Amino acid sequence: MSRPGRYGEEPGGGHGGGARDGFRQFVLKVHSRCNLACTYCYIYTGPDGSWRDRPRRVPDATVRQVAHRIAEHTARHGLARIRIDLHGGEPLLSGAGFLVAYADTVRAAVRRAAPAARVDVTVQTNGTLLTEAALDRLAAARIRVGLSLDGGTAALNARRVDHTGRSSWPAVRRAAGLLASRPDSYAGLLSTIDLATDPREVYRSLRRLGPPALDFLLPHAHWADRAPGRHRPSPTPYADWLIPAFELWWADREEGRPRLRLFSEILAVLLGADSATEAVGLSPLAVVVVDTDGAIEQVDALKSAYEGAPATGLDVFRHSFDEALRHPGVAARRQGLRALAEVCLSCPVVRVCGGGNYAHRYAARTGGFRHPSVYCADLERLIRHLADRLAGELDPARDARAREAPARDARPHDAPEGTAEAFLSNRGTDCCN
Amino acid sequence: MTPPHLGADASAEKPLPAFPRPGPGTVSHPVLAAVLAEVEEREASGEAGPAYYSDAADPR
Repeated sequence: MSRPGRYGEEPGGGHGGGARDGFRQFVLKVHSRCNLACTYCYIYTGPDGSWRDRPRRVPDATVRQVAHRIAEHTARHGLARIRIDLHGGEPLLSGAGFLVAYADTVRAAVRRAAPAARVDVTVQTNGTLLTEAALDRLAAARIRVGLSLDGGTAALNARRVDHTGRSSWPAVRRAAGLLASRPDSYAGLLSTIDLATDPREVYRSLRRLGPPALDFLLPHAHWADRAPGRHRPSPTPYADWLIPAFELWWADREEGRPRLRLFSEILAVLLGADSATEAVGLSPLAVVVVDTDGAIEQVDALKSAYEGAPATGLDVFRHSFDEALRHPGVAARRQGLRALAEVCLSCPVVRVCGGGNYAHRYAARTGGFRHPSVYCADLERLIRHLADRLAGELDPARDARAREAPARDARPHDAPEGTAEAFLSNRGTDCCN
Repeated sequence: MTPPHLGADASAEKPLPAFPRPGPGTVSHPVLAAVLAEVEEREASGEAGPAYYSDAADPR
């Protein structure tokens, strides 16, 4: 039997059928630099230094060619709706006018090639350059704004500093206030988890910023030199952080409760739906990235693994997006269970976890991604917690029985020492030999 | 006592329960009702299926 490739794909690649074949999300790098130097940034401090060789701003000729390729792909696959994410670096370093021009160029090209297709455009920004004038221009062009920040206070954003070490918070707070006053333009917040913070404080402070949606992101990490595997028992610091945040969100019945993507998608998959995020589930990844020089790449998170990890060797001048679909790294992200490690296939939560974010599976020892996530134990604990809450809601009698007879019908964290359930929920001191 | 390592054998591990999807309007919990409504809308519009980039906000 042939050995799977480094990406875990079966030889020959392959992906799903029908309209699901095409990319649906195009992450377009508008600017390759950033005006912040967040201490945990994996792009500028990680192993991949390709940003240094890229144009600072995407040239006009590249914009036109990107638009042509997107239109070509949309028409070829009969896509009814596509997403354009203007990204960076910090995209607003190019100015709001340039972002509008890029979006307009793409929309016009798609309109000519696939008149019925809808094009949703967002920009993901650190917010420091989001002025009222900029927001006016973006809003007029129907470009929604996603804001990256780690909490709703200065202290919670201590890691998000500029190149002189100054806090970005004053500017970001203004941006958040602007967006809250313009709900039609507010896509939501993305917050990278910091274990040093109180999850309840993070949730409440972000909630006060009035976002329609938010997400908690696991920091991009992988096994590095450790042996990858489904190690149990393992500490679950990220599940320990996320569960109190979930409990607050689950109990939040006030108007304006934001959609919380990670939790919503886990619940959706538990209820038999397909996941719409790469963070969980087995859905085929519909994303492709184009850098400022026109290079077609896989998602940025792979830059945390090794130099050149997201590279495909393709570019919009010489290649179509269909050729990118056939790249083994791209194909591996569209194969569901087939791309997972053997040990994952026998895991009770595999169809919800889906192996987690692909970049988190990388192990330097093997040079590949066919491993459990470095967050494997966290993901399992979080999923089981949400499943437990869901079960309690859908079958209250079961919940009542569990409360009345804890010794006989114990939840995992009450399981007697030495049982498998105790091992799964135990916060062991040893992890990852 | 150090618990024995389970290794790759997951047969002793507790399976997740199966959750039949509740029908529209049958769930009182507001968060769950919102999740269900979104799933139904996604599936009805033909938008269900693909996974999107986690380092970008959804367009809504």
